[in-house]
Amino acid sequence: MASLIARYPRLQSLLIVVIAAATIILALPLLGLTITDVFSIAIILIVVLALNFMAGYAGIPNFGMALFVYIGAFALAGVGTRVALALVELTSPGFIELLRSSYPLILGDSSSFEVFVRVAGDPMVNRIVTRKVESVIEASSILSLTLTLAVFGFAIIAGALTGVLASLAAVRLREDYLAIVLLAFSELMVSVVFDQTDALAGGPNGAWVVRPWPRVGALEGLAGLLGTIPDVLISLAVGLAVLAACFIYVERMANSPMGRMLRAMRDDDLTIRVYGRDVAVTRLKVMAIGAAMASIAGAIYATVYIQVKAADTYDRVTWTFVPWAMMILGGMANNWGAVLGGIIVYLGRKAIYYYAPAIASVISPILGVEASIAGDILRAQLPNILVGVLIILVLYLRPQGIIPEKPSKTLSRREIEAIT
Amino acid sequence: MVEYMLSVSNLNAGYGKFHIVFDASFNVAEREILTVVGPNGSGKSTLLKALFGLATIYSGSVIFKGSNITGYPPHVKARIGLAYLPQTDNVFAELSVRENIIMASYTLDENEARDRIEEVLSVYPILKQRLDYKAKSLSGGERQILALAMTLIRRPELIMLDEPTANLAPLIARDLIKKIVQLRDELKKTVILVEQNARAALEVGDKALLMVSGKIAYEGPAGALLKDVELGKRYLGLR
Amino acid sequence: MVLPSPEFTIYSIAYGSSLALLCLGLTLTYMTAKVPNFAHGTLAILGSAITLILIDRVYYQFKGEPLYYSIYIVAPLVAFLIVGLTALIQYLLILKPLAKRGVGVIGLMIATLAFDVILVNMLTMALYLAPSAYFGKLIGQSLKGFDAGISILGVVTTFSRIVMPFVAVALAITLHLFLTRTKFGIAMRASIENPSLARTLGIDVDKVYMVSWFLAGGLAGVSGSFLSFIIESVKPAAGSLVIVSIFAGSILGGLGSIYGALIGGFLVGFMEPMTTITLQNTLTALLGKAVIITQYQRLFSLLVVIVVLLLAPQGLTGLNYRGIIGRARRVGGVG
Ligand SMILES: Nc1ncnc2c1ncn2[C@@H]1O[C@H](COP(=O)(O)OP(=O)(O)OP(=O)(O)O)[C@@H](O)[C@H]1O
Ligand SMILES: [Mg+2]
Repeated sequence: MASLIARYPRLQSLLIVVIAAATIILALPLLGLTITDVFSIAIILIVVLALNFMAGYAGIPNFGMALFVYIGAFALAGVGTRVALALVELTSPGFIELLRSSYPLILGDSSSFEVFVRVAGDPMVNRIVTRKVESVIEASSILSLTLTLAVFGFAIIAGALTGVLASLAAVRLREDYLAIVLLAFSELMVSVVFDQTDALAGGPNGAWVVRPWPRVGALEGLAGLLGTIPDVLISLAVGLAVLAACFIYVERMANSPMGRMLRAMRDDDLTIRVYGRDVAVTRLKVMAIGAAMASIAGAIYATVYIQVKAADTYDRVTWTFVPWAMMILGGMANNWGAVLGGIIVYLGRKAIYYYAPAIASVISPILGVEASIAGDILRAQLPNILVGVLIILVLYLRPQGIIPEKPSKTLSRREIEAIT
Repeated sequence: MVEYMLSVSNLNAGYGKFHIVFDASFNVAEREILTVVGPNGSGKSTLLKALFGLATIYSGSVIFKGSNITGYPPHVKARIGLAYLPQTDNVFAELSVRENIIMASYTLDENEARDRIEEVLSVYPILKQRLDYKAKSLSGGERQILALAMTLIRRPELIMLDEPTANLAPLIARDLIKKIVQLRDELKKTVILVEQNARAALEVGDKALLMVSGKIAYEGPAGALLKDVELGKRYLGLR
Repeated sequence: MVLPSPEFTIYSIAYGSSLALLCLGLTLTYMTAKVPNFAHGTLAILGSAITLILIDRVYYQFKGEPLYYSIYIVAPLVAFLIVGLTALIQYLLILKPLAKRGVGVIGLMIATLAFDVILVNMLTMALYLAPSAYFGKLIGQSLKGFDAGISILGVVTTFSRIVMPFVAVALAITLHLFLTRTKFGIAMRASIENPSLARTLGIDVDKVYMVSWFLAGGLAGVSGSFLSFIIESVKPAAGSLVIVSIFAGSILGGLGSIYGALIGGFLVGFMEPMTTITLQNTLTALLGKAVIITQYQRLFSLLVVIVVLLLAPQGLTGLNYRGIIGRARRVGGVG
């Protein structure tokens, strides 16, 4: 069978199309997709585009994407909450004192500094204070705008810095070392440093964020006109806008001399050896830009999924592995492919989730397990297993993905020299 | 019809996407030396690698003693009587000389291996003194001798040698060429010999191939090629 | 500085020994397939799970009896076979066909990651759904209570911690003899160094690589089997952190030498808990209040990866010892 497929390339495309079509048909019952689904797709697509930029075009095996996405979420959960509290205290002094007197049991003997630590670090304080702060912030368009800028500013800068830091040790080395370092760094940051340190953003319990968007209701004058728009719609709009911007950026980048330089660097060991230093610098730039993009995605994601838990929500499978599957299925170094792959895998996972109880009701009598338990477990594990199988199948049957990379003219030596 | 030791027809070969050897066809009879010459990069080594199954064969066939061995994996070819001395990396640098020789006799049974190893060591006493040294500590010439010993230890019928005299002092090189002639005359072996030193190789060869840009530009008696002033001057630097 | 207790030192030696075996296996597969196997940590956890199941189905009945001690032979042996086969399947079904199709190193790496995800999730499913005789449910169980206690020279410890280092040393010596004294073992080294030359000599390199993968998986199984008594609980997801320490030890060992891997693995595994606990005790003594940093223990592994790659990417085996010793002599004015 395998050799048959190898012999007839047409058959490959046909198989892939059949698999894709089957996935979509299976997903049909889900056509009642909610707004949050569309939002989640937009966010994951930003991550996939960032990954495609780093791995597809530049050949950096980024096995640490989850960390960069989490950094964006941390910008809200760990930084935004505190900035919000500071903004409120600055504009209406005595707010912290008021909190202390309202909650003597919880906050009575905390210093102001401790309050700032605990607002993100202590689940109980976090719950109480973020809601109170949020009500003050959302009443003022200036405060919420300031918070938005601060949070996204932090997400971009911290994301870029983390991208550089994570890859620094192996940026001059071969891809396999780079992959190991990125995976190790991300894994330890997310599930050890952030997940084990309450003071950063609640540790394993996580922290609730202060939603930063300027409320339409708070924009004087417009209030009567539009009424209040649900937060998720604002997040969706921002997500789609950022997605579009990222798409255009990566697409233009890919077709610029820089993009061709990246591909030359990816395809040719010699380039790396001859232009070693420049390759390191270029890789770091790519890491910074790609990680910042992922970080923005994480920040927007946290405006809807407002409880941010490090290891629990920003796990390696969801935010590193699944984006890789999406990119490989769609076609590495092809942005349309990345988008298509992203949508297919997202819907496919949803569909499995949807059908899991049905499968469970069939197998549970055989195993002698309660159907509901089997259903829960299948829902949690089956989508991941199938994504794993999908990656291997695509690599075997059609390594170039659904929409392969467009062949580009190769870079002449003079051009490389001109760029570097 | 004569049965050839090796019969190659319309062989196209290369490395993955890189097509290097085009439409090679030739025969080697038993107890014959076939000398392959040609400029650097003309595909001589690739031809040998393809014959042994180490390069990709796109089309064509390789018949060894009447059976089609085109698709055989290299380790099977080694077991049915072919041997190949690669031009580069022809010893295991990290293994000791002894271990290298043991590897060369890998396919032989224990007793046979012991006898052959003793025999080889008596022919090349220089290796005997170096048995427990890593091969990477040998000089270029010693290494070449080890590689040659490794190629011959299994007593193959068809021996393919890719520039065996590289790195050897002129005297030893001449000696080696003599040994190759002995292989044919005394041990009744068939040899395909790729050589930089075209004159010496053509002098001892029965037949010759001239490769140019992956194609066989001449196939015929070795002596005739040696006398062909035109081809000799153009491709082989012979006066 | 407050030094760790003898009990803790024994624990660290046991942990270091098991990591040494894991690094050895990872390095072996890296040298054959030229790709780091991101599933190696989960292979170890599979060994732990097998031990858990053996206890749950059979051995709980013998707890406290002399017969119970056979678990320390039976469990590693069963784990060796099953995990070895799993690694072999990974190589034959995934890596070899993909490499043959010309998939590059990045594709191969993501394929090992894919296998890891498949393995973790299947294992999770199995531990949730498989019927359990003793524990009630298998997922997340601790086997600490099933490790026989033993006291040596007044130091109270457990049987697995005493046995593990001996097992590791015995396996290392066996492997060394295998690689240097047997024809097949030498062929293994030859095939790793120069596969095409090995082929021309009649060595079936594919078979040799298959044995390498089986051995690597088998050693991970043995290691995981002993680790199951040491770790807090048997959770499939734990492999994703163990793998970081495995990479740390292997990179320290140079990723190109199995002896380097043994040393690197032991050093990382031994030093990681020792350094952490020493630092913790010292800080506690200095600050006069309890400081707890053991939850950050694994950062040591990350630190090793980063420092080695920055300073000596070739690892321990790549260092030029003559040069270093020579320089030290000159500086010291000796010789
Ligand atoms: N592994 C490889 N992959 C791709 N191309 C290769 C490979 N090995 C050799 N080539 C190319 O194949 C061509 C022929 O090389 P080959 O080694 O067969 O030449 P040759 O005639 O033996 O040369 P020489 O006399 O220098 O040994 C060269 O252009 C070389 O660059
Ligand atoms: Mg050559």
